[in-house]
Amino acid sequence: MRRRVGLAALDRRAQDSQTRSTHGATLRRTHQSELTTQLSVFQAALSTFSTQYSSEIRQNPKFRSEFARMCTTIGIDPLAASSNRPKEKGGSIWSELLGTQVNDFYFELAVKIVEVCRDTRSKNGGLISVSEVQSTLLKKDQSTGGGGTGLQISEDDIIRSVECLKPLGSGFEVIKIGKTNMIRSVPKELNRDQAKVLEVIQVLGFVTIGVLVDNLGWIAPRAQAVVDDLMAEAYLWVDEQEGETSYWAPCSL
Amino acid sequence: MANLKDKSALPAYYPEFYTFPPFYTRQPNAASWSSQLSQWRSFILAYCRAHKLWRLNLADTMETDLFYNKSINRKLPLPTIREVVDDLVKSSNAEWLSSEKSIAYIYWRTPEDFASQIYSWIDETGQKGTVLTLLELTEGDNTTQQEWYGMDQTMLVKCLNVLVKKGQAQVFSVGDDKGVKVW
Repeated sequence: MRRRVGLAALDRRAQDSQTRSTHGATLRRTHQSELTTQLSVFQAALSTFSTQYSSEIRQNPKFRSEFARMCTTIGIDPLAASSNRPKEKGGSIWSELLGTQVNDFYFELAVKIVEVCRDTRSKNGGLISVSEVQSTLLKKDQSTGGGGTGLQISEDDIIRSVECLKPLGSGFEVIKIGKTNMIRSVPKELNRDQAKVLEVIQVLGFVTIGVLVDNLGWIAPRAQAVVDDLMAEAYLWVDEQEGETSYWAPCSL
Repeated sequence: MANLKDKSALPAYYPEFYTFPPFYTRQPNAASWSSQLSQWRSFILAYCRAHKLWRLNLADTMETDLFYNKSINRKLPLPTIREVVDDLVKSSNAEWLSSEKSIAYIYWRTPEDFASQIYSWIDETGQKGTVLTLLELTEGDNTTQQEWYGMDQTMLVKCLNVLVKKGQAQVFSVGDDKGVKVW
């Protein structure tokens, strides 16, 4: 073939490459929309599949783990799926499919919860409200970007996750103080008096010996002993700058 | 009284504890105190950094937002402030001007960090081998964007001494001022 010379060749080459790139772009677009459609069809199919074979998934561990692996491979997050579902149906696809049995998601969440509890232990003595854990996790999730887009972790998820730590005997436990769920991450039982004091703090923000004596009918030494115990466990901080010495809980900050 | 959480109105470097009254009483429990201490440490450094403060006169600073939260009427007492600053001294983040412990230099970066910042700036701007006066470094038009801009001269000498020790710089007198040469 004769090599083309002259200025026309330059024009033609530019034209050629432009045509090629436009064509390329069109192809890419078509591909993309096809893939999107395929993916959504697939997701729908998967959802139907999981409902249809729910009993199989529940009963056959091998089938279950294969199914879970498939979900992970194609990037379907069981939790993300759960947040799209109506609440009254009760939590995630998983809890529906697998009953009360724990699963990888809850284990992973549990690991994150343990991290938060450990990070904040020096601050709160190992007692933290579930809602604080929730907001900390949310903040972490946002700061790491990507990953969990719109991933919602409910208080229920957190409580469930902490429950799945129980067999490890690590001392993690959800306790109810007043109306608030708290996670206790140090293996120490709160006795009834201590729980009562923390409950009063939930309401008032702080306590004084006088408040305890007046409201609970305790004698002062009892109140003082309970408060001292809680102080020794770093559950309470003392404030001596205004009137009667008052005690505050960093975990309700 | 319980609801003091107007933390949202404060700059981000204010600790969560700023509006927590017991934060201003030294905690007797060792674990709580260590947490309190580390919060105060980082707050002092962050505050000085944000306000470009190089030396703290404790008696004066006591009355400023740093140690005095007027909204809850709590003030960190002087002995506790000293204790915190003592701890900063241990990690070379502070230095007492005298044994009375009333004024302290605050290094919100350690002298080593500042030294290496200054060194790279001199390197990047091709001023190695040139004599620069200390005033040029802290007040010069070229350094307004640098973190050490406005630094106390005594502190600057201390930072530069880090480079001197490494054999990377020499400090000498130029008339009334001092000069430094880096290579």
